Amino acid sequence: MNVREWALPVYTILIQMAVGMLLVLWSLRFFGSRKFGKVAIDRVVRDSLLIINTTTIFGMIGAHFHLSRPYLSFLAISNFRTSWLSREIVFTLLFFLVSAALLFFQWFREGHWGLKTALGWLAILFGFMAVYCMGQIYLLPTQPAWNTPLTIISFYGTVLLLGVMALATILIMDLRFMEIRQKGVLNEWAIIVNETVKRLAVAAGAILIPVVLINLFYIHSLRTGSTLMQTSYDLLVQLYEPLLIIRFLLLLAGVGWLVIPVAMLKRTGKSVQEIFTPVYLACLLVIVGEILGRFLFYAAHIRTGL
Amino acid sequence: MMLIFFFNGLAFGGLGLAAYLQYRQGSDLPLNKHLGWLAAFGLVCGITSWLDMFIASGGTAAYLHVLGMVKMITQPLTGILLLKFGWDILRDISLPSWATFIPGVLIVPIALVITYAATTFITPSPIEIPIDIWSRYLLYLPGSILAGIGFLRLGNAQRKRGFSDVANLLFGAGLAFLFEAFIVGLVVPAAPYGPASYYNYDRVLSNAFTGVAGENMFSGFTAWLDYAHVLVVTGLPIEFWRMLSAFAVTFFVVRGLGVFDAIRKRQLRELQEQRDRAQAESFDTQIVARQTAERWTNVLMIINRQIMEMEDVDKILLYIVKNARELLPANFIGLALIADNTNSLELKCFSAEAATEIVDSQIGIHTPLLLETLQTARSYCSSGYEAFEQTENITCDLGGRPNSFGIVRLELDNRSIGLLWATRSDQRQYTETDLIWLECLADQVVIAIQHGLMTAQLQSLSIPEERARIARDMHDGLAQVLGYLNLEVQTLGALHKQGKNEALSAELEKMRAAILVANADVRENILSLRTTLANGKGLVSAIGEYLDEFSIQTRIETCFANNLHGELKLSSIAEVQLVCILQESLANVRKHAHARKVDVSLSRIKENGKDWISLQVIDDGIGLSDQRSKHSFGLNTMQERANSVGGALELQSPPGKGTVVACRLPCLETERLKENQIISTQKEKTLMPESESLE
Repeated sequence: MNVREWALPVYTILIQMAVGMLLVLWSLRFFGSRKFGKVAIDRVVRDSLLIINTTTIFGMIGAHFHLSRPYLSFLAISNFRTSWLSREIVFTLLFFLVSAALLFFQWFREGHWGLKTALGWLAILFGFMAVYCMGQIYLLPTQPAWNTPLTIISFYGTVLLLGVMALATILIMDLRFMEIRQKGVLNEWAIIVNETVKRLAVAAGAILIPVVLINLFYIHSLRTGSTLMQTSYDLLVQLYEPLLIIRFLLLLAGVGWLVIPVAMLKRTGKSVQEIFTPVYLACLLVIVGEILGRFLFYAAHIRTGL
Repeated sequence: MMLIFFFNGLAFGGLGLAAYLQYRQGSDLPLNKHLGWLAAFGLVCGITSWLDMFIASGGTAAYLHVLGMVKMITQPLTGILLLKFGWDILRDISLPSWATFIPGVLIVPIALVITYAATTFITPSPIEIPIDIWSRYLLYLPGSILAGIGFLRLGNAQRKRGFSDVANLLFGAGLAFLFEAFIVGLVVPAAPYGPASYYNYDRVLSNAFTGVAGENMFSGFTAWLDYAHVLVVTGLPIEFWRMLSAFAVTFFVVRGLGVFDAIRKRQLRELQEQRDRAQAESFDTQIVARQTAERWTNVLMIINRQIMEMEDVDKILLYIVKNARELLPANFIGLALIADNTNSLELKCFSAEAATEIVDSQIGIHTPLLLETLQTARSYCSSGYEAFEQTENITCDLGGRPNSFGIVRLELDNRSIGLLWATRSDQRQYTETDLIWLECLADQVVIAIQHGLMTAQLQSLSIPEERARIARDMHDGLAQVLGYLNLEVQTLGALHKQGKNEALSAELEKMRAAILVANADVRENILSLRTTLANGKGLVSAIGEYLDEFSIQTRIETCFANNLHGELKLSSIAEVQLVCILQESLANVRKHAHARKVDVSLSRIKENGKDWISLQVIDDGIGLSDQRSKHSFGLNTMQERANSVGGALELQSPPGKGTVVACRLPCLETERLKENQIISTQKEKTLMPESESLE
């Protein structure tokens, strides 16, 4: 794969991660506001929104490296009625614009709880539509290895897994940043992050199981599918076998590296800030695993016909 | 090539060994706690270089395979150790708060690079090639960069601390690591994927997008980034430059650590010397403070003693002002009291360099600051900024112009009775401590005055009592005798008229005897009144003299046995009571005992763990005839006198075998005695200059 080919996994992974992070963040905001109050929760989610928007921007910029003529990318939206690619771009743009508006309100306008809530869920809806369109692009009869609903399902699996892992990392990182900046321990903030990270660790463990099962089921479907699908299967288990194994190992290790330190927080007496390094490495491993998975997704397909 | 690998390994091995030794030795350099990782890196890197040396030397296929396998482990391990070291020293340096987000920003690029690296392992090339390449790219390159930046920032920090020598060397180490990053981390074996395909040992360039091999893209200065160009120009392979880099890193790090250590040792030595000096100064200050406190305490104790002994108040006041002037020190000490009649402040006594005197004439004090202090009821310590008018005539023209003064009130029953103040002409202002000492002296002045007043009151009360006693004695003694003589004279007149000369002679004899008795009483009273301890002779001497006089007057033989050795150890009140008891006992002997001889002895006895002074008066008279005599007024008085000072009195008088009066009085306790000794010694010392000056 050269630079242009690498742009595609970068784009898909970053957008899916951004959508996932916003979903998890907005769930935290929704449930956390009842326990900790709206003001406290709004403070905690503020910086994370900036990172989500930045991730989206980098994803969209990365997508341009895939284009032959990046300066004409805006023309891609003209076939909204007929093309899943146009729809994907439109929904990605909508996701970005709404989340940017949300960021603006979150940073520069106090209050407006209802409006912000609505904007957040709207952005998530557009994000999910974008991911759905992203999956639909690959459902092509000429690409038997891709032409399965499991493609879309696995994309949503990535959304959830990366969203959980990345948000756990961002929340701890932001807490550390605020403590350094304000030169003191932020008790309420730390409690919110502590409780959230614990729940995210549980969620990561819960999401990992279906993600792995879906991938195994996908490999099994390739094995039992048409000749071309079997060819893709052969590629996966022969040429790309080490990478396939590494991918699964990375996912398991990554989630494990989040779950174990979080589970041992009470026993070790550490604060959530102190386990930033393992949480960060866990997130890194999962991202590598997901990018590797996306690489295998692209690398193992066999085109039929023209 | 083998030599290059050998020296390369030697350099890194040396670095590892030096770092390890420094790590074991310990140092204050912030880098020290991470030197373990640097040591491990150096040693593993040295091993890797020597593995290269052995591989280059050739051998059997199996031998080379084993060496290759080991190198596949040590090479990434080298990178991991360097990365860990670089990360740790960079973490130690305080970074701005936004730097917290750097790992977050880099997470996706890092993930991409790792994924990319992972995908290259499936290319059809020997496994050691991607391991070599990605060990350099992913581990050695970031590790060297982090270490380089860390050393640069450490150098900067040391420069700010003033360690420019160390800073230069650490700066050199930083640059060496950055060079290492380039020469070791970027120049990799050729591979069909970027960036190994762009810049490598074999200089194969390919287009990033097409993957097609291209021409040399470097020219001019950038040509020096082209390894092949460097090789052509210098004729030296990449391994040589790596060896140079290794020596540079080793030299700067080892030298930097050594110089830092030397500087720290020098600083520690200087600090130690400074601490020793400070300790010595502190010790001297403590000694001076302790000596000052001792001197003050001694003076205060002497004053107390003087007050207890009811010495003359004026004498005590003079002692106070004189010692205050020496201890504070001051040019002038003034003591002024509010006059009862005029209610104005008048100088009572003063101490100046010229004289220490009680002021007889009335000298009014009108210094505004003194009067204000009297009004405000607070002690005053000068600040050095007082107006001249405020302090005018504060020394009564005796102490020169003052620059510093401390003023304290004399307070009796919450009422100001006067002032005590100190002045001096130098610029040193009196401290709060000086003021506290001055207040202590003021308290003593008040106590002395109070005692003086009380003594005067007691004396005035005791005069009628003493008159009554003398009247009683005269009534019982002399008046009775005179009455008797009056009757005798009438009898003599009658006998004379009757011409009874014999009877007349007999009556005259009786009269003569009565006159002798009266005379003895009067003489004894005179002797008792005259005998006193106030003349400084001491108790034993006074008793001796009294007994001699008593013997002459009464013709009763006296024998005084002084069994005391050393000091008497009696309080002054007890001494007075002892003399009174002796006088009373001897008076009884003379009046009632019909004794020819009386033995008086003084001795020390020990009872119930305490020392006592025992006085025994033994006569060879007729003894006490009845029980009533044992409880007569005189004996009860003796008993009360002994009891008043914690002693006891016993009387033994078998009829016809004389009388024994045994009295014992308690000695002073050891602590009290020591206190008395100190007071006495100090008294002698302080009195010495007085006597000298008097001379």
